[in-house]
Amino acid sequence: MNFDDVIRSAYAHEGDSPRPRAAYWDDIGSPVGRIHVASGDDGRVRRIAFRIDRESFVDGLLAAGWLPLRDREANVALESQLAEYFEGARRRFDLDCDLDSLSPFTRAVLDYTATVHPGDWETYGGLAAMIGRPRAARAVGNALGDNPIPIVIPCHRILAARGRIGGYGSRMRGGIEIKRFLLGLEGVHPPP
Amino acid sequence: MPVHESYSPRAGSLRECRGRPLGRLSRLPCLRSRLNRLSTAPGIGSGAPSPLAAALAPDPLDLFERLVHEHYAMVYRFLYRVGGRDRPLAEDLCQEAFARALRARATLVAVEDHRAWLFRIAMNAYLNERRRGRPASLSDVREPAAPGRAVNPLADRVRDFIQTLPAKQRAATILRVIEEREYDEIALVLSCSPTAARANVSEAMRKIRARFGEEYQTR
Repeated sequence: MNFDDVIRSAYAHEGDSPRPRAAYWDDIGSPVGRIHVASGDDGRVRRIAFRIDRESFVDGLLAAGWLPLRDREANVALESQLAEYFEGARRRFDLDCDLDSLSPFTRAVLDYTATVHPGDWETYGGLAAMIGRPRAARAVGNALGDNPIPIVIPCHRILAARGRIGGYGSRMRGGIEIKRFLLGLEGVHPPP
Repeated sequence: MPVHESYSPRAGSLRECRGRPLGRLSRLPCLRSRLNRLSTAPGIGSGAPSPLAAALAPDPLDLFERLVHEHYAMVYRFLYRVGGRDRPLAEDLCQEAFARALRARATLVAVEDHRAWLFRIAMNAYLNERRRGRPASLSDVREPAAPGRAVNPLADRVRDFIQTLPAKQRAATILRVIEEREYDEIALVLSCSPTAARANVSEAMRKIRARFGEEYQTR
């Protein structure tokens, strides 16, 4: 006697399989070196990273709970807008950003940062006051250092007191050079 | 300002290893670690491959994408069946299994039977989840039959019964009967010998026959 047919019918018609929770990544050249980018399947930008090797970038996406899949198509809008920005042909980005996984404080810092116009700048202390945390200038600096989507969320426009350059990127060497370059593109030249 | 001139990409990524003279390859740290880890995949790799084979191995990220494309749905369905048709559980475990596979990419490029290896990671993820105390799901979380599907009460009860069997017997039975895998592959998935894989299927079938044999005959 063979039960195989009963078992097969018991497990037939199991419905659709879901798609993986993926982050679609790519890398592009730029005047500040290779840039890695990633977007979600909803089209929102999830990551922009300077000066990182491919393996570390992919591991960062994994650690955030996404399966990294290389896909230029998913990043076409982001990549073309970045290219235009570096050519000086674009000042504002028209993109949705995925900041869902960030803490409310970091989110508030980055939301405010996104409102600072090109050619303009704010200070860490000024930003802290604007979001109702006037004593949190240092925490603002840390939150900006963890900005997952630099350039598009223009954390380079947030400077130290009296418009000095401040810092850029919490885990990156040479970040200040990049910050100065981006500000220069926008016509801002802070003292050291 | 030519900021980019000060930037040099970190040497040593796997892609950069390819195309270099073979004599120097084995001295590169990335390849050394890849060769070292081959011995940690018993039964799946075919022994230590030559340095040439390692040098010609596919880029691990490209390979990973191909595996997601080819096997994600199949691994999901396996977890869905083994886990008692618990869709959220199967979704989480499938995502986790592929994440683990990518984290172990040094092994990924070395194994021969990628499908069996992915199923093995998925099975281990399921067993770990069970050990952590997420209860085995029974009919309470079972999805209702799809509309229009023929009602087969015996099949539904057999499925519920299979859900009460030990996880390895259940997995072996699903792999053998539904997925039609060879015992060698089932053995790789369950981390056991082909003989033990066959014994798991036989034991499950014996229990199913003992429980439903009479009913089946008089159907």
